[in-house]
Order: sequence, then C-alpha cells, then structure tokens
Amino acid sequence: MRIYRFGIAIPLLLAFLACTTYRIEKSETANIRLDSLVTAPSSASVEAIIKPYRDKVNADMTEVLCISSEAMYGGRPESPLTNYCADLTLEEANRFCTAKHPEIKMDVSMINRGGLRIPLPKGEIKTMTMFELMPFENEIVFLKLKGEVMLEFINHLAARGGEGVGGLRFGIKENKAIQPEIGGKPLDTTRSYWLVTSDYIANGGDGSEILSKSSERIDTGIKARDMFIQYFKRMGKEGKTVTAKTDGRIYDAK
Amino acid sequence: MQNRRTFIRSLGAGTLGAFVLNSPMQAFAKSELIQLTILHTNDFHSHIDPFPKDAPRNAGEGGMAKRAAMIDQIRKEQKNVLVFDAGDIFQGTPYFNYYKGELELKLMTEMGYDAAAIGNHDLDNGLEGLDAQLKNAGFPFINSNYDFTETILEGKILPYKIFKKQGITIGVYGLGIELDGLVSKANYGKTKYLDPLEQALRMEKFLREEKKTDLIVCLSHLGYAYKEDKISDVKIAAETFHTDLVIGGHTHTFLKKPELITNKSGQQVLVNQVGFGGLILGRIDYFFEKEGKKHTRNNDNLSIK
Repeated sequence: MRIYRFGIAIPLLLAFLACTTYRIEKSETANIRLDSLVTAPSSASVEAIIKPYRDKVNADMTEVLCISSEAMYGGRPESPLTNYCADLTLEEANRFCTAKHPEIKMDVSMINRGGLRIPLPKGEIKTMTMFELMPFENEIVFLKLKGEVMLEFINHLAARGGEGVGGLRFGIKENKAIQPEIGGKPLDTTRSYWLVTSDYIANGGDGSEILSKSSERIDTGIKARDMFIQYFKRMGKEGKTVTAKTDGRIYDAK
Repeated sequence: MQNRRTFIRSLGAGTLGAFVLNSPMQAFAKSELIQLTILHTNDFHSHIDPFPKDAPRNAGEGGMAKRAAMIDQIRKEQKNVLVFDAGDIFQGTPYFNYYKGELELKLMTEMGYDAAAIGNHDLDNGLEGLDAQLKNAGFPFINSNYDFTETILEGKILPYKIFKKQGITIGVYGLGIELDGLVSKANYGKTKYLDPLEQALRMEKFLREEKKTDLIVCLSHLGYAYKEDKISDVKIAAETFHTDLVIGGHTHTFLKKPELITNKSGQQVLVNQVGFGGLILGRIDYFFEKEGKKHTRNNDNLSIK
C-alpha cells in the first residue's frame, strides 16, 4: 500500500515563467487566464453531436411569429407589457376552457411583472423572443377563489404596487385595493371567481400564499411560454399587428 | 498587463496553446512524482454554444466544443486526468427547454467527465426529469446529503466514488444545497435534505480511514460563501478534517485562483469555483510522491474563449 501525503505548495510556476517570460509574472499570480488570448479550436466530435440539435433549435428560434407595432415595456401599477400578457393569458385560458372545460370560464388573469424578463421589441416577435421573455418552465393553473379570498389576493397585488392583470380593475390607496371590479362589475364577495395564473404564483410565489386558500385547482400542464407562442403565432397567421395599451385598469387612487 | 498581451500575441496562438496547456510542473513529472490533473466546471447552465456574438457580456466566449478541445489537449499531455462538474448543468438556454438535458449529458459523456454533483436546477424538471436523462450520462452523479430512498432516484445516485490513477486513490463525495424554498416541492418530492457538514464529516472519515484514499474531493453545490451563517463551500473546507479539495458551485463565483482555507487538522485545503456558463475550466494539478517526500500542487483556471 502506497501512502501519499501533502506538502506545501511552492510558487514554482512563477519561477518557471521568470526564466523565459519575465514580463508575464509581474502582473499575475499563479492562477493564469493566459489562454483568454488564444482562440481555442473546437472539438470536431463534439461539434458533430451538437449540430443536429442546434439546427433544430435555431430553425425554431428564428421563426417570426408576428409583428408588433411598438416596443412594450413592463412597469407598475400597470404597463403595456403586463396588460398585454395578462390579457392574452385570459383569452387563451378561455379558449382552452371552451375546448376542455366548457363548464368553467376564467374571470381574472394574473401574470407577475417579475416573470416577464425583457420588454417585447417593436417589429418581429420570434420564438427566441418568447424564450427570453419567459425563460422559466412555468405552467398555467386555474384556481377557484371565494370572493373574499379574491379580494384578499387583489389587496396583495395592490400592496405590491400592481401586477399584470386581466379582467380586473382597481385603484390603489395606501397600499390597499379600492373599488375592485371584475368583468366590469364590482367584486361580489358572496360568489366565487376563477383566476388563471402560473404555478409559480399559485404555489405562493411573490408572497401570494393566500392562493393556498383556493377552493378548487386545475393544473393544466400547459407551459406559459407555449401558450404565448401559440397566441402570437395565431396573431401572425391572422395578419394582426400586436399593439399595446394602458387603460387605467390599475390606478393610483389619491 | 499590456506588456503581457503584447508578448503573448507575438508568440502566436499555436505556440501559446501548447505553452499554456503544458504544465510548468512537468519537470517534476519526469522524476518520481506522479501528477494528477483535476479539471472542473460548475453552473454551466446548458451553455452548449459560445455566448452569442451580441451578448452584453462574454460575447463569443465559452462553448462545449471548445471546452472539449481544451480537455482533449490536456489529456494528450497528462496521463492522469479527472474531470468533474459541481452541478447546475441544466437550465439557461433553449437547449434545455427543448431537449431537457439530453444534449448536455451526452456531450459531457463524450468529453469524458468522471462525475457531477447535483445542483438545484438539475431538478427543474423534477426527480423524474433528472431520472429520465440519467441514461445519457456515462458518468455518475454523486450526492451524499440528499436521501432519495423514497423517490424514483433511489439507488441511482452515488453517495461517493473512488477513482484510481496510477496507484493513487481519489475519494469523491458530493453535497447539495437545501431544497426547500429553492426548488418547488413538486420537483424534489420526498427527497430528504440532510445536514451537509454532518455528511461531509461522515464521508471523509469513511474515505480516509476505511478506504484509505490519498486525496479526498468534495463536489459541492452549496455556494462559495455567505454573509449570513449558512453552510458553504468555504465552511465545508474549514470545518472538515480530511477533505483536500472543495470544487464548488451555485453562487457563480469567479475565483481568480482557488482559495486556501485552513481545516480542522491545520492543513491547507483548496476551494475553487469557476463562475458559470462554461466560460472557464478549472485546473488543479497535484503532484504525489511516496510518503516522506513533498507533495505539491499547482492550479490554473483556464478561460474558454
């Protein structure tokens, strides 16, 4: 049995460099990034494995889904980006309900501001844009909420200074929601509403623990990004231009 | 710095490549010393291709084909090479969204990786998501502090592995970060998170005293160091007795060189981490001699550009 033991690290590297390349060791210690100036060749075998995967991804990523007439930025309390994304979520969710759950209809959508990672550009919206907008693998969830739970959730959105919402309108006063309206009518605490959001929010993300009080939950298994891609593709096919708007759905109530 | 750049350009890329990759310690290798070269990555996050040409940072840098070429080159020069990854192989580019880690693991296999730790993002498609991809990994995942007993991964993740190179034995164990609050419950299921330090102490004692390994390496996805009192790569190095090297991940820490930490036995331990995105290849060379003689080491974090 051979036994090996530690000794002390010796700055031999410096000594070695010193004899041939005096200038180098002056500015660096033993840990070199020398090859930062070398163009490393690529491994042909690894390139060969990557190629078919890359070709497929690239072909898909560069596909133009539709055209946007203006850049859309996110913000609070509302913004073109958050409004647009929440509206399309509500629309697509109800399209899905019509096909798979005709007994229910989504009343409110909520897409968190923080989950939208880039502004949407003016001009071509590509598949890649969707991956940049939503890099996460969030899935769409439907939650049935009692009126009072919905109200508490809306108060939470108000306390956060506003989020992306669809089907909903309210003012923010002293960090609380006032005059909340759903589908154009004042919120009724005696009935229940359906909320469509991401599993991240439904699971309590961004402080939305209140949603654990939902009376019913449907996990659609649909990725939010896939839903967005489908929506924008249809816009393109129908020759529609994506246009953003703010409409005062979340407002500062002084 | 400018002087150095000028000098390097004048050498020419080919010469420089050989110059860089040839260890200056090779003079030693000719004697009775046995050289072991450990190469490592962490948090490469599905960066299969180099960063895009228009990326705000690191444009054109990294890429697995270049990393592979660099590793190939080192293998030509070194007899005893081990290649490790400290976790978060998955998530970060559409390659992962499309292929769920298949390509990352196939390429690591092609490159001859010897083992990887489990990072929190490696569970982004759940335990099932990792399980489904294991068939593409020709190397083991090592973790010593996740108890997968009641899960689909039971028996499929190694608690440790011992490698042998030219008579030298290298014991490797792995540590993962606390899952609760970082990974959704649905994704980690019934995995039990065990205290990393306790498991590190248990593993290193076993690897040194029972298995008599010459070098003990910890593949950690705990994170380099924290302001708050939270277990980290540095803490593992400082609070253990026999672990010689901690190869870390999670905090995407770009260390210019490995940190030297004094452990519980009063020995100097190396802690290294090489950022993220496959931009740098960590390199540590150990030089072994029979007992009584000196054992030295050298390290080098190589940029992949």
